[in-house]
Amino acid sequence: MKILSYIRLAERAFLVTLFLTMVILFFGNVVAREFGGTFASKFAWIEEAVRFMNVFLVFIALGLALEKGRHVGIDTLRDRLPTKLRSVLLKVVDGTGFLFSIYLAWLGIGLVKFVLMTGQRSPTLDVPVGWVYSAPVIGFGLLALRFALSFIGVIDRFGIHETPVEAEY
Amino acid sequence: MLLLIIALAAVLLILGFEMFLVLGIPALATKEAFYGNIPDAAVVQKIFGGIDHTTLLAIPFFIFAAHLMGSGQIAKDLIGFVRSLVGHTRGGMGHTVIGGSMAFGSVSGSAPATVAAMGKMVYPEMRKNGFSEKFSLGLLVASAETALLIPPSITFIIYGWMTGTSIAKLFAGGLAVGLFLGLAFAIMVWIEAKRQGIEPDQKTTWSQRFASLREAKWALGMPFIILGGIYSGTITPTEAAAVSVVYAIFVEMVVYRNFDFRDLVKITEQSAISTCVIFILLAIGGLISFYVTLAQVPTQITDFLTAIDAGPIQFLLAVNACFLIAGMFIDPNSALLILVPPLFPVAQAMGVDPVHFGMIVTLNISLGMITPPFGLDIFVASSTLNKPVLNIIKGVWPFVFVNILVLLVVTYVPQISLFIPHLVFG
Repeated sequence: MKILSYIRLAERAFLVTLFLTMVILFFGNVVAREFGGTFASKFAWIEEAVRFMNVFLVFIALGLALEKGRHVGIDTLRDRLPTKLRSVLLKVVDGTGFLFSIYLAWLGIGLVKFVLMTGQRSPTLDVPVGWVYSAPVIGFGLLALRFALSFIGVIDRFGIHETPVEAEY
Repeated sequence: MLLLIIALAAVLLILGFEMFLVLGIPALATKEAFYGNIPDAAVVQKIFGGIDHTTLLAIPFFIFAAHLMGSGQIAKDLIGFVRSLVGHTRGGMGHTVIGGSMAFGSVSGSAPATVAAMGKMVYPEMRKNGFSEKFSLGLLVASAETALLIPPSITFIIYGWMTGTSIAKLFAGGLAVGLFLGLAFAIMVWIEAKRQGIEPDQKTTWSQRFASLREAKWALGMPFIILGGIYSGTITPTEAAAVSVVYAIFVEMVVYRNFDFRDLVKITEQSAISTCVIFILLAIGGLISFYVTLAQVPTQITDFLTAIDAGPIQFLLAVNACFLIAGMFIDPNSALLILVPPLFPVAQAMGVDPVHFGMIVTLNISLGMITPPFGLDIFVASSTLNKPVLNIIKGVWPFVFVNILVLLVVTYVPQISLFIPHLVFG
């Protein structure tokens, strides 16, 4: 699955770059306001930009989080089931999750189309809002991909337990 | 129909579906069953709207800062400093656990992160000091709760965003309630130490204290920036969070040279995923609170309470019961998302102060993290220390009990929650 590792690399690079940029922009905004005087009003777009970036951060991380077994859920009972029953249940979870995320991605496409048609633009950045709504479409798409891969057994998302320090929800 | 949807959620929960599915699938079913006339696209719009908010930006930044400090030197220095201050008292290591959790909580807003960071550092020391395994585990898990109350706190940020309450005021109230809870645990440590005849930890001289203060000077800069910045009115809590990330990167990478760029990338990625895990719940919560508003649930609850002639105290006791039960089964953030939208307007109608209500809710949330069978902190401690969940549950019961007492006192005595906010904001 070479493609999968490319997707993974793209996701990780995107998340890290985005998160660090968010920090730098928001920090820069504070510094500019404290020391820059009127100069700071040029940066009014930062808040909106970081907000949008955060939305992308959340949705793009959905698939990776699933793959790493990081989403919260109560698996105590699930993991005590007999092996056979448990593996059937895990398929049901994957299948349901796939349908759920595909459905939301599909609804999201509808929203993107609709908002692009209205031509709505964001207040300070002046970008078409329709494109911002592509975040949930891509995110739920990546999530659906992971559910599907787990369903057909290409990835094992139930076996991994990350080290506890990372297990902060 | 509504019962069917609740039953569906319960089944998904028990079968171990991911929490966002446990909330999301019934939310979609609710739309089909009751609100068919709402356009489909609105569903995604509400999900998007649930996280597209400046106040919430504080959460990814605080998570990032906590990850940086937890893997670096800042957390260790803070705990070392606390130990030099209280280590000489009876049951000193126990007090160090409480104080250290608070100190870690003052730079991080998450209880599980506190359990994970403190666990490995202090558990062996407690056992060496003569505390039993049961008591040490219980104390460790319970003390981490103070991290949710001592500012900054992720729970307060979410609550403040959902209810429009000032986050700076919530942080101020949380300081008092957190200290109160810590004090209650400290009394338990003192009694246990007396009963088991546990001698004080090592003696510390004042020159040693100054030495560890000097060592912790960079670490202490963190709470100073966060709290000082917010209460001087220089920066908002969200900005404080962003500044704390830059400060943590500076201290860990430049001052201590603890990690290089590669480590930074790894920590950034982990923080992004931690953020996603919380925010996807907030996103689905955006959809749920939309229904709650449409169905006028708060009005119905208020009418019911008026009909049975219940006052604010009865109402708050009922709130405690709801959260306690919810906390046993679902994770704290989900409980917050489901219960606050319908209950907060009722609290307002009853004349309960929003900050006081926030303290009650957050104390409940933190209690939920240590209540068996599904307290998240119990599992984090179990995997950090490699101890069976059952041993931890045995140790945690006395703390749950004391915690409930603290909760009742905080519920009955609003002044505990409100005196610092009143002092600071008039």
